[in-house]
Amino acid sequence: MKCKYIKELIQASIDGEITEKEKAQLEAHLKECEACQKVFDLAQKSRNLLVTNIVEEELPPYFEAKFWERVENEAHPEGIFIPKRLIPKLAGAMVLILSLVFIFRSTRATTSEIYIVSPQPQHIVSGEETTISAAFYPKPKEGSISLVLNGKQIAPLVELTDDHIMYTPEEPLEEGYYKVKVQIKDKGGKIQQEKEWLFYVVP
Amino acid sequence: MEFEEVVKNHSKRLFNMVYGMVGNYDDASDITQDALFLAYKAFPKFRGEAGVYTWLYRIAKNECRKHFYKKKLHTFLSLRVEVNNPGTDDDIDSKIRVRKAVASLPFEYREPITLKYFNSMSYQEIADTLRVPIGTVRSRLARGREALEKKLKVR
Repeated sequence: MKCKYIKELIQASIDGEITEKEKAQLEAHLKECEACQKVFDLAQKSRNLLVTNIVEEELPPYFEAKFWERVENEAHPEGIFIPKRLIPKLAGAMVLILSLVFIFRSTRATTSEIYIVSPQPQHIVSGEETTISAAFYPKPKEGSISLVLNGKQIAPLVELTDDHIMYTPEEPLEEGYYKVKVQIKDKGGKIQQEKEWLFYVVP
Repeated sequence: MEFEEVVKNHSKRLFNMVYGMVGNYDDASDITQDALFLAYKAFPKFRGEAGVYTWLYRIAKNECRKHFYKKKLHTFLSLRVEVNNPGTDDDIDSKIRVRKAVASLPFEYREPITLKYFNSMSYQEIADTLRVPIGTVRSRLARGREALEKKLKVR
């Protein structure tokens, strides 16, 4: 019998979750396998260490009172709760609002600035609803805009207008750090403006 | 069922689970509060397909993961080197050492160990909560315990 399987039986045995048949198998194996016998002794010691050191803690003082106070303050009916599925739409709306604000502001400035819309730098977001977007003001008159995610140019998939850029991956992003780079380039491909930021995706 | 009942019946168990996961009392208190608050907001949609505690557990687990990633992100951004190993100093209280050792295990081992030893669940309950076969629970517990033995230098 394989020792790997025996290790699972050892675990089940020390936790009292072993069947009679498995117990017999385990005992027979331990008689002839010194290595597994050592694993068994060690497993018993570590289980004892866990059981003696882990004690059930009481709730911190006023835990329930604090919880209900928070409910009272934050979750009253007129409060705003944003369902997750609306987040990409809201990001789009934010882009639109920012764009409108920019349009109505002075047009005197000549160099376009890049404004991060979503996700905000160093924010932690869920991979299922990540929309990367940035707005430009004033809108670039000529040239091109590029969006690079973790070193990968993703322009063909990006919804690009002259005053904002928006990208929602087709597949949810995997867990990890992401680095976004947005660039405004002139006609000759020379970088005029660049913005880089990091965010973190959780599953 | 009212949410008052949920808070009364499950807060302590949930707190102990979270404490096992993160190994820090104050963080555990904040995370449990956050998880319960999220549960409160989602409660009208709770259909009872899973048991109440399993449902709460899944919410709290996500909050633990967020906490974990925030810590990781913070470490990454501030370029701090985080020492995750439990101390070996004899002066360190053994209860704290054990908690820190559990909290520093990889997530897939920490989960069943926390449910088994902090929440006293049976293998079947752990399997139902994690939606994995009992065999997986056994093997993860066995490997997790071995990893713990190394961290705690059990001989």
